[in-house]
Amino acid sequence: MNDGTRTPAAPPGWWLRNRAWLVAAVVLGVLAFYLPWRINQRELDRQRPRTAIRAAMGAGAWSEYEGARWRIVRVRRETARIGAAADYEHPEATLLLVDFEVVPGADIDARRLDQCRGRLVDAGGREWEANLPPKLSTWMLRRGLDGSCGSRVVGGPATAVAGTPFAFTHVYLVPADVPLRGLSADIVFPPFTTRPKMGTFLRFGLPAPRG
Amino acid sequence: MSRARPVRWGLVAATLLSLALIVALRARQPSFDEKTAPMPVAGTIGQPVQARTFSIKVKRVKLAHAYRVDGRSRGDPPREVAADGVWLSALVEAERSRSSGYVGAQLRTRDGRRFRAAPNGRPDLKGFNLTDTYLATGLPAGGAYFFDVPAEALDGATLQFFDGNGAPAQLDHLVDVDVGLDAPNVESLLAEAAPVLDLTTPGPAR
Repeated sequence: MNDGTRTPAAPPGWWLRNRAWLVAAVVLGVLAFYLPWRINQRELDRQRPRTAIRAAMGAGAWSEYEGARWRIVRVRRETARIGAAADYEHPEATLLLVDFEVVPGADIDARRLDQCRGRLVDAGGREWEANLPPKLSTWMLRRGLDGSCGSRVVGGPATAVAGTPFAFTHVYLVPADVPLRGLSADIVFPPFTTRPKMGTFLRFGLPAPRG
Repeated sequence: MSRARPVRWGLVAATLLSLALIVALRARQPSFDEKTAPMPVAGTIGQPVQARTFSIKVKRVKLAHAYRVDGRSRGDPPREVAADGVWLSALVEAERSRSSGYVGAQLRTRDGRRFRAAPNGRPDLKGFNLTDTYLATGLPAGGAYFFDVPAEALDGATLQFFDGNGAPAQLDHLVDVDVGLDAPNVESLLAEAAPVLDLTTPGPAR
């Protein structure tokens, strides 16, 4: 029964009337921050190796990275005679020799493997490049050590073949007082070339050196 | 008949003031190069200076008109390397503190000109001329940087050091060391400058 006294429904409030705009503004606001952040992250990945893939622990354990399997076979240390590994006279130093083996998969060839380089990082974040200073490469040649991940010159030219272990060595010139605990040896490819994600590298925690 | 609207002078004044402020602020806005310029870190001679990736200590500076260095090959007679202006050598201790690499050097004159350190082969003092010498992290090097500069550019010049062997990187530290090259000091250094400074390896010929 309609007695004509029913009050009309109250008009919707401001928030309700503008809900579509408000939702759109929130979505656009979030995108305005998220998209530049994502672009920036992608650019950083393209420029720097910054995403570590932790290598499998345990002696002789293989780790997958960039279409190949990698492992550390042995770690050695030697006293660096002054003048042998660097052009300048430096304080007492150590040569850290890290012997690797890589088994290439079907989709990676020696040329690609040769793009790899080595990096040593200590617990404090200090870094050393493998096989440098340049004089260290000369020292390695004299010692019959090959520093490239996919091809060798010592003992006749040879290249890594899919399915067959290929040995190489990364040598680092470090101060004698660098604590060996907490050292990591990295295998790094140019960051913009790693797949599926750019900027990845393989990180091995170093076992205790021998020798 | 339409009635004329009153002019809102307050609004006009606020608009003009805002426009003037925008123009003035834009005129004084730093350029991109200024915003991304290297960040100077001041130092003085004899004092170690820590930059983002390296530390450097300038121990002394010296002038010479030419250097005598070893011959190119074993048994070759010593060679003289004459400066186009005058040689300024800066004896330093340099150390890479975070990652291995190079420490570059340049001389900045009072009027803003920059002279890059002479290349590693001029003078050819392997292991002592630190230009383009690769330093391992944590292994300091004692050596020198050499600058071939006009003598009149020395008054008020400072030595600058930076990461790498190219040019100072934007938004990175640029160590600026005052080595005391004021007019009287330059005069005294020039008076002491050897016509030919012997830098040959002591002992039997190489």
